[in-house]
Amino acid sequence: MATNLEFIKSETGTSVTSLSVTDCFSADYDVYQVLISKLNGLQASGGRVVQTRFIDNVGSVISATEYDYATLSMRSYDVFEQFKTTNATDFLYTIRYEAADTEGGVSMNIYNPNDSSSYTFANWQSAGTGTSNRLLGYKSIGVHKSAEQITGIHFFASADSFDLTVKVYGVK
Amino acid sequence: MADDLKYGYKGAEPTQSFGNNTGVFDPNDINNLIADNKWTQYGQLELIETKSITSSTASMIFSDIQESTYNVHFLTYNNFQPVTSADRLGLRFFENGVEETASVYQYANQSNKASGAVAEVRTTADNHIRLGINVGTTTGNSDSGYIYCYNLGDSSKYSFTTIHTTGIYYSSSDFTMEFGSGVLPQASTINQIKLFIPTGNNIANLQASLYGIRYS
Repeated sequence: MATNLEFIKSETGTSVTSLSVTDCFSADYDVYQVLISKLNGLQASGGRVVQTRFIDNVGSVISATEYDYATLSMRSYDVFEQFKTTNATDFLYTIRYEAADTEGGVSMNIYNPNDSSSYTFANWQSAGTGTSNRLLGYKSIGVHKSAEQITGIHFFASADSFDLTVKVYGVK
Repeated sequence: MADDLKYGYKGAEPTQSFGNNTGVFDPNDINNLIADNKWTQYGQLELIETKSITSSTASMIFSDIQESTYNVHFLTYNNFQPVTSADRLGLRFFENGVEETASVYQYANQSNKASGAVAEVRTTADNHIRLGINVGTTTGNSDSGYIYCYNLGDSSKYSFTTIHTTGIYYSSSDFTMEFGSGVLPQASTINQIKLFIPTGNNIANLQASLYGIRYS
C-alpha cells in the first residue's frame, strides 16, 4: 500500500571517511528524503563538515565540477554567513560538527535523480555545532548540473573519520 | 501455523526482515513479525499522537514520544493563535521527565517578511527554542510549521531541532516565514516535548501532530 514516506535503504559506516548509499534511487519515486540521523565524529579536535556527492548509473561517485549550491550558515553565537558557488565538486556544507556528542542531524530532499533527462536538485536543512560546541545550522539548495541518471548518494568527511548512519526514504 | 512448518518451510526457516519476507504467513505470523518490526509495511512516517487546543490553555505536552523507538521525530503544528496579541510559540524538552526551564537553549533562525525585511534571530541563552513569529489575535491570523527533532532518545548526544514556519506577523500583518535550528546542548534523554508561549500567556488555538520516522 502506498503511503507518504517509504523506507528504501539504510547504510551504516563505522570509523570511515566516507559512506555510499548505492542503488537507492529508482523509477519508483521522483522525490526522496535522506536522513543523516546518527553521526559521531572521531576527530581529536576541531570542527568538521560532512560533504555530499551523487553516484552515477555505473556506480561511480561523481566528483566533476557539476555541483552548484547556496548555503545559509546560521549560528546562534555570531552573524549568519552565505556560502554559494557554481561548478563545485560537491555540496560542501551538509552538516558541521565539533566535539563528540555534539553532532546533530540532516534532512535532505532529492528531486528527479532517476530521470536521465533532468538535473538532480536538492535542498537540505541541518542542525549541528560550530565553535565551542555552539549551535550552527545550514539551510541549503543545490543542483547537480548534468542530465543523467543518479542511482545513489555519497557522504564524506572534510577530514578524519566518522560513524555515520544514512536512511533513504521514497516520498509518495 | 505449527512451529515445525514455520512460514510454510519445514526445517530451516527463512530469515525475515523489512523488505524481505519470504514464505506463507498466517495472521499470527504477521502479527508477530509486526511486533518484531520485521514485516514489510510501507508508511514510515508513523503518527505518535495528535493534540488540539481550542480554548485558553497554558501548554501542549507530548508525554509519550517513544524516544527509544525513533531517532528522528517530525512534529507539525498549525493554526497557532495566542490569547494575547504579539505572543509566539516556543518549545521545551523534558529530560527524563524533568522540564528544562533554564536559559540553556540556543537557536539561530532567519525571519523573512513579505515586505522584504530579513532578520537574524539568534541566541545562545534562552529558556526555550523559538518556533515562529509573533501572532496577533485578529481572525484568520495564525502561525504554522514543522519541526525535525534529532537524537532525543540518545543520552550521549545533544538534542537538535530544525524548523520551518509560516504565519502572519501581528503588528504589520506581513506574511512571514522563519526557518532555522535549535539545540539543547546537554547530553541527555528527552522523553517529553512541550509547546507553550514563553511570556507565560495562554494558547487560544493550536493543533499539532507528532510523528516518528521509522528506521531512523
